[in-house]
Amino acid sequence: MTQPGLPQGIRLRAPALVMRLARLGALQPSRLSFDRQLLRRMAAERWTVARSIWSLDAAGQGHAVYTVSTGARRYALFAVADGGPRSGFALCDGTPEVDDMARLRTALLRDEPGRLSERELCLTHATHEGALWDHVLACLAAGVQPDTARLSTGALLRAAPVLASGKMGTADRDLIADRAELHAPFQAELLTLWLMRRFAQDLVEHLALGLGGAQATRLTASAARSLGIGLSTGLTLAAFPVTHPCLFNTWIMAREEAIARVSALDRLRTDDWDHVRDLLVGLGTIAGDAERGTALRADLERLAQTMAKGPQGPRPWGWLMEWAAGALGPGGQEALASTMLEPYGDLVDGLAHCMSDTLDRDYRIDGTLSVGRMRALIDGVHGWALARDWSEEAMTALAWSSARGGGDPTLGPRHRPGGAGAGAVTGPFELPLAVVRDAVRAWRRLGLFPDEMPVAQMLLEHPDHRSAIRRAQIAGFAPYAEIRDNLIDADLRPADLMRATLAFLGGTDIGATGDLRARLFAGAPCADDAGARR
Amino acid sequence: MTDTLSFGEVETLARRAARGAGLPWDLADEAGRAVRILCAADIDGCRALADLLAEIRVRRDAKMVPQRLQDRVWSAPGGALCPIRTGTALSDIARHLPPDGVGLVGVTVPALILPFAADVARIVQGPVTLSWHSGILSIGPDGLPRSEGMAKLVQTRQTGLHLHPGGPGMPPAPPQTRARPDPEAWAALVALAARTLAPPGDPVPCDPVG
Repeated sequence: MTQPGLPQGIRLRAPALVMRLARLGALQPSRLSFDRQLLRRMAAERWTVARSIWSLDAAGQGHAVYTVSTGARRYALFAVADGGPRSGFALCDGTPEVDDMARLRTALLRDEPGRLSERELCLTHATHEGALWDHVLACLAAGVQPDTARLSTGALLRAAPVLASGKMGTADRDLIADRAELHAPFQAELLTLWLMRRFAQDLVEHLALGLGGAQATRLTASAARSLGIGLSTGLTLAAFPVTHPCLFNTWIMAREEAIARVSALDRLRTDDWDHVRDLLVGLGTIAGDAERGTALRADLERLAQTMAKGPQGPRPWGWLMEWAAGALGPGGQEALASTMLEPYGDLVDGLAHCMSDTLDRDYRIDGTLSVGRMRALIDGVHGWALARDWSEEAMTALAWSSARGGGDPTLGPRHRPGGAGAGAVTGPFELPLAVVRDAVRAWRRLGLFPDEMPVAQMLLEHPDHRSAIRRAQIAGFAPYAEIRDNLIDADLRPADLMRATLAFLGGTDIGATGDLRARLFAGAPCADDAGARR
Repeated sequence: MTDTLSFGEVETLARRAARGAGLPWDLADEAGRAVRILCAADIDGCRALADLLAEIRVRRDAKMVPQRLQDRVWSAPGGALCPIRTGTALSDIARHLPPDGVGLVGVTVPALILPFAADVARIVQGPVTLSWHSGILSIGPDGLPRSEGMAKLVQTRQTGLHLHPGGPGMPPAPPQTRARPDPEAWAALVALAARTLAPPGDPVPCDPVG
C-alpha cells in the first residue's frame, strides 16, 4: 500500500547493484548527508553561536570558546592554539569551567594528546593549510580580499580525524544518542568541524589585524562561506561501513528510498529540472584519481546534453535514471542520483530520521535457525564468491591489521612464509574485516553439518564462525548491510570505502594522497548566519 | 591510567585482550561487549576478564565448552565451563530455552555470564532467574539489576549455576557513565592486547581461508 503523499510505484535498486565498491566509491553528498542534517536543524531550531572567550595574543597563542545554544542545551568548542600552525579542539557538553579549560589546554597541546573526560564529546587537532593560509593572511593584512577561486577549493585549517564516542576518554555515544540534536550519526563531530571553520576565520583575521594594523580587513561574508574545513582521514573511515553493517544499511536504504521516490514522480517543475542540471554542471572533479575524474567529467557532459532536451517520459527523473544506467558510468549515475534529490526536501528529508541504528551492538544470533537456512542466507548475499577459487593468491593478497603506535588500521600485503603458495600462518594481528572470505569459510563449514541442525550447535563447536553467521542473519533483514566485493583482494581500493563514508558525512573535493583529504561545509552558512536556510 | 574510562575504551581493550589471549575475534567481540555491560552495571568487568583469560591460559578454551545443547545439564570435558562460550550458547538458544532451565556445571568467573543471562531475558522479553548454591538473582528484560546476590556472584571464582525463564525480574540498575577498572587487571589486559598490534611496516601473518 502506498503512503498518502508519496508517489506510487516506488522501486528500490537492487543491493547487488548498489553495494559494489566501484559504485559506493562514486557516491556524492546529498541532502541526506549528515552535514546537511545538522545545518537544517540549526536553522529550523534557530541555534545561536557566540564567541564567548577570545584570549589569544598577537602571535595567535591562547584559547577561545564558542558557545552554541540549541534552545534546550549548550555545547561549546574549546580551541587552543600554540602560536604556530597547530591547534587543538574539544567539543564540551555544556560550557567549560575555568578548571576544565586549564585541563583541556594541557591535554590538547601535548604532542601525544592527553585523555579527556565525559564532559567532552569530541577532540581533534588541526594545522594550517600552508599555502592558502599564508595567502589569506597576507591579503587580509594588506586590506584586500583573497583570490575567490582559491577560497572556493580550499580550507584554512585541516583537521585530523575527530575522535569521539568514548575514544581518548570522551563521553560514550550512549550518553548522548538520545538527544534529538545528536541522534543522527556524527552530529557532534560535524558540529566540532563547523565551529572550527569559524575559529579558523577568526584566527586568520586576528593575525592579519596584528600584521596590517589599520589597513587590515576581514573576509567578506561570501568569501567566508566559500571556505570549507579540511579533514584528513585514515582507514578507520574505510573500515566503518564494514564494522557497522546495520547502520550502513540504514544510510544506503534511506538514500535508495529517496532516489526511488523522486524517480517515481510523475510531475515536475521545469525550474527543478533546470536547477538540478545547473548543480550537476558545478560538480567538481575527483582529485587524486585522474582516470575516474575524467570519466566523471565526460559523464556530466553527456548528462547535461540529455537534460538540455528537457524532461521526458511520464516519470522524467525515473526516465533519466534509467537512461543514465545504460549510458553513464557509476560516477555519473550516482552524481545524478544524489543531485536530483535537491529540489525535493519535503519528499525525502524525513528519511533522515531512519539513518541511526543500535543493532550493530545489540543484535544477537538466533541459533535456532537451521544450518540449511544459514547456507541459503550466505548464498543470497555472497553467492558470487562461493564459486571463486580462494586458493588464488590475489584473492587473499591483503590483510587489515593494527600497527603498534597507530590509531588507524593498516592495509598491507599478507605474509606467506616460504613464499607464494606455502600457506599462511595463524596470527592475532589480522583484523576481522575479510567479510567475504569469512562468509565463504562459514558456508563451507556449514556444509559439513546436517541441513536441519540448529546453527547454535555448529557454533558451539566452531565459534570462529560467529561473526559470519551473525552478519548473514543481519543481511537477512538489512539488504544493504553487506558490500559485495572482496575486501582483501589484491585490487581493492580502500579509498572507495572512505569515499562512501565521506559522502554521507558531506565531504566534497575529496582527494587521495597518502591519506584521504576532504572538505566539509564548503559553501555552507557560517556561525554568523546560522539561521540562514541552506 | 586515569581515574575513569569510557565504556568504549574498556570494550576496545577487552576485545583486543581476549584476542591477544588466543580467542578468535568472534569470541573476543563477545567478551568485549560483556565487559562493557558489566562496567555499565558498576561491576569491574575488566577484573573478571583478566581472571578468565588467566584461567584460559591454564585450562585451554577448547576444553571449557558445553558438549550438547540438548542436555538439561551442561558440563565441559575439562571440568570448568567458560562463561563466554557458555553465555553465547545460552544466548543463541534463548528462544528455545527449556521451561525448567539449564544447569551449568562449574562455571568459572561466573560474573561474565551475567551479560548473556541479561541477553536471554531481553530476547524472550521476560525475566530469567540465575541461581547457585548461595544465592539467587532475577534479571528483567531491561538489563542487569543491582543486588546483593549479584555482588556475591561477582566474588565467586567458580560455581555451578542454574538458569531458567521466569522470576520476579528486578528492575535494571541505574546505568553508570564511566568505568573504574582495577589498575592491576587493566594492566594485565593492556599486556594481552599488545599482542594484537603488528610491528609497524611488517607484513601481516594471518589466518588461511581454510
